[in-house]
Amino acid sequence: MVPLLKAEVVERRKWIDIDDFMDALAIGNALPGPIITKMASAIGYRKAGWPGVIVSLIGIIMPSAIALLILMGFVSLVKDNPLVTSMLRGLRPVVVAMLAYASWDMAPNALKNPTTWGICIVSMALMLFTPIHPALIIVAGAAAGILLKL
Amino acid sequence: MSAVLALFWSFLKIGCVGYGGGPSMVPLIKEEVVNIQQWMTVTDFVDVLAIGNALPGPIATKLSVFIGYDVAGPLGSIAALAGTVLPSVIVLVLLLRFVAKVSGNPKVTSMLKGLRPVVVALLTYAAYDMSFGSLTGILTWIIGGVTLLLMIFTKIHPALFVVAGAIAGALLQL
Repeated sequence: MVPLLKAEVVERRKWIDIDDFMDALAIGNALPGPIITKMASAIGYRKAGWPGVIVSLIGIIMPSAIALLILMGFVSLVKDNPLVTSMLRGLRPVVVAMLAYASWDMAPNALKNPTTWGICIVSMALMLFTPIHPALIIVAGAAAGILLKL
Repeated sequence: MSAVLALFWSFLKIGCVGYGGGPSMVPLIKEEVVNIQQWMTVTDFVDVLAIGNALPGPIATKLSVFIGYDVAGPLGSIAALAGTVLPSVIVLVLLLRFVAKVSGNPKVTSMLKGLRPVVVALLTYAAYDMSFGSLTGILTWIIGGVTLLLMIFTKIHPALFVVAGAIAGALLQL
């Protein structure tokens, strides 16, 4: 979605220039949360302050969220139909593959040396064998990064 | 009301630590919603995720709106969504305002390098965890394996895999 957003707000509407866009992207990447909502807020803020943030967020989030609500409402109505059950059983392995792919895709950039491999393996072990909340493991990873000056 | 507050708190935690973009937040959402709060079963979560992935738009916010609605109606939706987006949006606007140079800051770079391996572990763990209800026979293993290989080696749009999985399920009468 980032290239689409750039085409719309930088090239077509000229709401912000490319430098501001790249700045927002860089700051956005240093923060948690979905990148597209951060970009939409940054552009909304630059253009119209807090009201701009709110309308940009509504615009970027609502269409697909409402579509999902409607679609799920429909799915729950027909859930007991054998054909729908079969379709859902075919879908579930796709979701597992998508998560595995997200991990595969991120790995080359994340696992560059023995230290980062170590952080990954320790995190994995903590998730498998302890009830520690993953949010805490993420915070610990961030702290390790700073302490080890990665 | 307590459900609405619980939603806000759960999604706020996710919004504060969900690094790596929308898809990286999925395992955190699953952990809170399925394992900790037990608002949904893992299978229901996988179904919502599959259908959510077939639609355009950011996945984390779609999930927040849907799960919030499912648990506590429209107010639940707003609470979950606010938890997901507010932390990063508020910090982002403050940073833009004071034009802080966070991107080149060595501490920020180190922090990101330390948390990326955790996100990789988190995604791998989520795939493993969800495989129990999803990879239940040889045919589902094949669907999962073929999908993963196609994702790695081709540029096919993810939504098409969701459609293909549903068609395969119907044809094979899974």
